[in-house]
Amino acid sequence: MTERVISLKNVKLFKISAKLLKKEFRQRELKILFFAALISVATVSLVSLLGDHLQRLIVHSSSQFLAADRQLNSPRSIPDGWLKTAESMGIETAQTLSFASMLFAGEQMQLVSVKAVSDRYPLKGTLETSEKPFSPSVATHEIPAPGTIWINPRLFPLLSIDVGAVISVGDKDFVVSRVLSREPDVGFGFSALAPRVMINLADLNATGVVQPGSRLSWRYLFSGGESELKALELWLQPKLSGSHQWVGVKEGRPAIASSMDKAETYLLLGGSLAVLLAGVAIAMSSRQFAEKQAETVALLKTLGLKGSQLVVIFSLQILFLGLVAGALGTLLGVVGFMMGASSLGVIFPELNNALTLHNVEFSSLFVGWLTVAIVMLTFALPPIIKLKAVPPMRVLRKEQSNDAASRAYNGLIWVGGSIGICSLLYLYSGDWTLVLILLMAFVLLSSLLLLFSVLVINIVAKGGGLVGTRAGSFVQLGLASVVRRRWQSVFQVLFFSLALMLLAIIYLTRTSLLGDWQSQLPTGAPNHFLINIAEEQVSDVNTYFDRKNVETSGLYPMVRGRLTHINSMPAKMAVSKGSNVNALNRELNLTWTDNLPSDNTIVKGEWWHAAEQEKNRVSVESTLAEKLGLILGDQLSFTIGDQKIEVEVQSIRTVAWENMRPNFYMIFPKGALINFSSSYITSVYLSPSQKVALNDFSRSFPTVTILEIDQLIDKIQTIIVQVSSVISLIMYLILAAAALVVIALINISMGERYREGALLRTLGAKSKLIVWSQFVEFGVIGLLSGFVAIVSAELVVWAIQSKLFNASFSWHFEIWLWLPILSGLLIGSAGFYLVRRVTTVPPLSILRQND
Amino acid sequence: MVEPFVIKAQNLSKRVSSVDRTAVRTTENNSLQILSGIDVEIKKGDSLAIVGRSGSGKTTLLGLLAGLDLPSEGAVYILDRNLSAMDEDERAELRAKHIGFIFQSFQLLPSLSALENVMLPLELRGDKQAQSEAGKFLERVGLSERLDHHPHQLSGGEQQRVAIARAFACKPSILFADEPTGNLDRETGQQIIELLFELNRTEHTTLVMVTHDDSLAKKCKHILRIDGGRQV
Ligand SMILES: Nc1ncnc2c1ncn2[C@@H]1O[C@H](COP(=O)(O)OP(=O)(O)OP(=O)(O)O)[C@@H](O)[C@H]1O
Ligand SMILES: [Mg+2]
Repeated sequence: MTERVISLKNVKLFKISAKLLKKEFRQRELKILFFAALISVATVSLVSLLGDHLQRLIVHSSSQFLAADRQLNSPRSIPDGWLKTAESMGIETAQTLSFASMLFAGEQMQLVSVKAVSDRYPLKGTLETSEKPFSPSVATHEIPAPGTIWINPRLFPLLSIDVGAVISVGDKDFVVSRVLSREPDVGFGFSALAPRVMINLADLNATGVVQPGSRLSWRYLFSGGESELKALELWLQPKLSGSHQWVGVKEGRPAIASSMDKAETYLLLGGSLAVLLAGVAIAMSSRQFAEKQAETVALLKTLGLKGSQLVVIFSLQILFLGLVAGALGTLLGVVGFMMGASSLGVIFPELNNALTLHNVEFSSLFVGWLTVAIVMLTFALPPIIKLKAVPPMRVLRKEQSNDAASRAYNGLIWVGGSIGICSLLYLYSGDWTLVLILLMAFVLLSSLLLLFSVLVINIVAKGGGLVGTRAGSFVQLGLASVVRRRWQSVFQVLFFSLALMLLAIIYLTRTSLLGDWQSQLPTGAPNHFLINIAEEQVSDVNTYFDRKNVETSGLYPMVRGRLTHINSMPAKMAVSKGSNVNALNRELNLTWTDNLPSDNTIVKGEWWHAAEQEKNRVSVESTLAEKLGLILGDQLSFTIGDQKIEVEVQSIRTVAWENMRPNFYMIFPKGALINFSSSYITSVYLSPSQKVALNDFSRSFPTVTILEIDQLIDKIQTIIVQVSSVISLIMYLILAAAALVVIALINISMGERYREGALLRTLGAKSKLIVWSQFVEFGVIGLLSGFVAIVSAELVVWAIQSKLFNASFSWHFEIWLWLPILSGLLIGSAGFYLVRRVTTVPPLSILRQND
Repeated sequence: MVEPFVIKAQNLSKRVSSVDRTAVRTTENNSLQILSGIDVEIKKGDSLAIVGRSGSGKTTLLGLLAGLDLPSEGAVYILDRNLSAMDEDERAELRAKHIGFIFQSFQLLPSLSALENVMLPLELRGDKQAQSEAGKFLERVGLSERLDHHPHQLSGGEQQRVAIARAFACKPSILFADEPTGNLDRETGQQIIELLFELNRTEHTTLVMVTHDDSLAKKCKHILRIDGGRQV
């Protein structure tokens, strides 16, 4: 019986709530609250969708370099059952086998790197071939037919043959049917120094070259759904031995793809900031809404409604708004994503089919809904709950209550907001460091502001005190108003600067992120590697490029050797157990020079000076040194050929791996490796028109191997451009959110300003005085906000750059100048624009309102 | 010699469109006639009481006479100048020079103290002595103790007195008052009335006042009765 009464009552409350909402939605606060929620959800959904999309892009680009989604590398063939299992799981497979062999063409012979490929190779990416050497290549979906061979263009002059010639590998004759220009999974390792030839795997046995003990490199390629691949990995993992290498997306991608990671972090950062702005806008408008409702609430209380019933009435409205904003925001996010992402589809036609609606990650939309739920609960609701504490006396006397109850509710608002901010940031970034940085920034900003406002108030109070409004001139009236409404001003500066700070952070990190990428791959970055230059060719190669006006990155001698002992202990034992350092399993490229390469930096020890240098020294790359646990003074033994050398670690260097220049883990002093046979390596930048010269070069230096990575670099640069434009889109979205916060904030005090303006007019003030004083007042507030924002933003960016991106930081002094000025002008104009109406309507009609 | 009219209004009428869905529809074209056919002529130094029932249009008329709003028909002349022919800024300038106002709902600025509210019109005309002048007027209305208090700290009657001090501070040649004593007890009301008429006598301030109080109305030289927006 009692339950029935309660439920009836609830229905009644629901009806009252719906009725009130209809009316109240005409009020601006509720509209702003709604749009803030809407824009935020839309931004969050979009950021989240784009983040996923970017992730897919990264996976996609790295799968191109793997020629598959996953690779299993092995020196031996793997049991047939493994591939069968994979296929039974719905995973596509293919295999390749690479080995070194001699190629015979009549009298001529040449060491080549043979790659035997199975049907369906490559599973991802494309092979490119041409009909004639050094002519434009086209993509193909075929592989060499049995009995035919595709060979690297440089082999044609070397062997003086043409397409159609018959050459042999081992016991088997092949017809040269095409020129092999490009394979997707060429990799960045220079293991394949010899020119590549490609045959069908079916011909392998006929060659008879693969014997027990041959050095083979099997690659098994897998491609399929992400969950199936994970299942396969789980199934395979226990069966793999140390010689097997499972290559996933992370391991398989080129070094430059780490930039993509930064882009992702950046998106997360942008997302978190959007969420912060959402919270601010919603908390503000909810507070204002509650403030405006206080009288209605007091009135309803005098009419006999209970506080809790009133809270239910208004909470229902917030709930309803949240639902609608969530739905519409999600929709907007999806639409924005489809539009933004389709421009990416142009670059990656392969991805196009992934851009239909059913491929939108609906789980990422969940983040938007969770956001709106948290935001509504922690930002919008507490001020509403505070209405419970509104004393009915409020009807009779407009006064802010400041008793224990309302202080407790204020506490609730703060605690709610803080919980909201933390949980949102964590939800969105999953990164406590980021949460901590942003929170610290917020605390810093607030304390800066508090300090600042206390200063202003003290100066004013001590400086004889400001009495009156200084209504004589608009500049003075505006300035005096900032001080007169000092708490409102402080509140405004706090939130304007918060919004501006977030924008500045996004802008600054974007600039440095993009700059970072551009500096890694500047136009003119070397796009061809020349390997296998013999010592006697060095000066000829140099003069050759000098004549063509092409700059090389310097010719470095290269000797291959293996690191065997560290401080007389076998290296593999010296390194802590469990860490499988790849560098110990293979030969390293060693070089010597007395000049530190320009993009290397000594981090420990000292670089050598030619004159006094002892020869038994080495300089080690820093990440390898860390993996091996090397410190200065450690003794290293290398085996080069059949000889051993002992050296001492004299310095540790960082190397810019992504700059497309020859880089070395180990550098020796000049003369240390003089007894070993070496070849030279260099890299050059060739523009498309200069590329033709390569044929000529190949003819002059047929033994030199050329590694073309120009198309790869082009592709990476396109990705960078695309990612940059996505990031710009997100920046504009955050800008829109910030603008909404600014408008919401200005709107809070608009009622008061209208009345003030109207009253000033009845007292005879001219419109110029009224609107321009608003411009001055908001301009000053904007100026201060801009200044506070840039100070805090710089600190945050510094923290982000050094903690998150591990990048260097530099001050942005030009922004220190124009951000405050710009924000002063913009916010001033907004104030000017919003209050302008007061001068066009009869004063009486404004004075009649709010009576 | 004939004294010139300081305020002259001919055939004033005011209509407002009631777009507000909650308003009663009075005519087919959805507009509400608040005032019609009002003629007023006031000479310098005269006093006029506007009386009528609540909602009869008194405040509206006062607003029209003071140029805070424009009539739908008819014209208002203040000191021989047609308000309708001026733009808002010119009307504002006229108000600043000649007109004082006491509103039914006080219209004090909540962010200003009592003193600052009174200083406001003085500052607007660039008076260097604004602060001390304002202090004097607040003293005259008996609020010398409450200078730094803000409106929400004052009672309704006290707020009314601040509003009156503000109106006096301008030393206007025409003072419009909308129920100036409506919120005051008899005794304080009496003092305020004395003040108003003293100003009327000594400074020749023209007084236009809306009131419900018949005894107050009788003190005025002229009485204008309106009912349902019409002169009776
Ligand atoms: N902008 C407006 N829109 C609609 N109706 C209006 C408007 N302004 C005034 N009115 C109506 O015009 C009528 C006259 O209003 P006014 O304020 O002049 O009355 P009043 O005589 O001053 O009443 P009171 O003695 O209660 O103050 C009222 O019915 C009022 O509701
Ligand atoms: Mg009235």
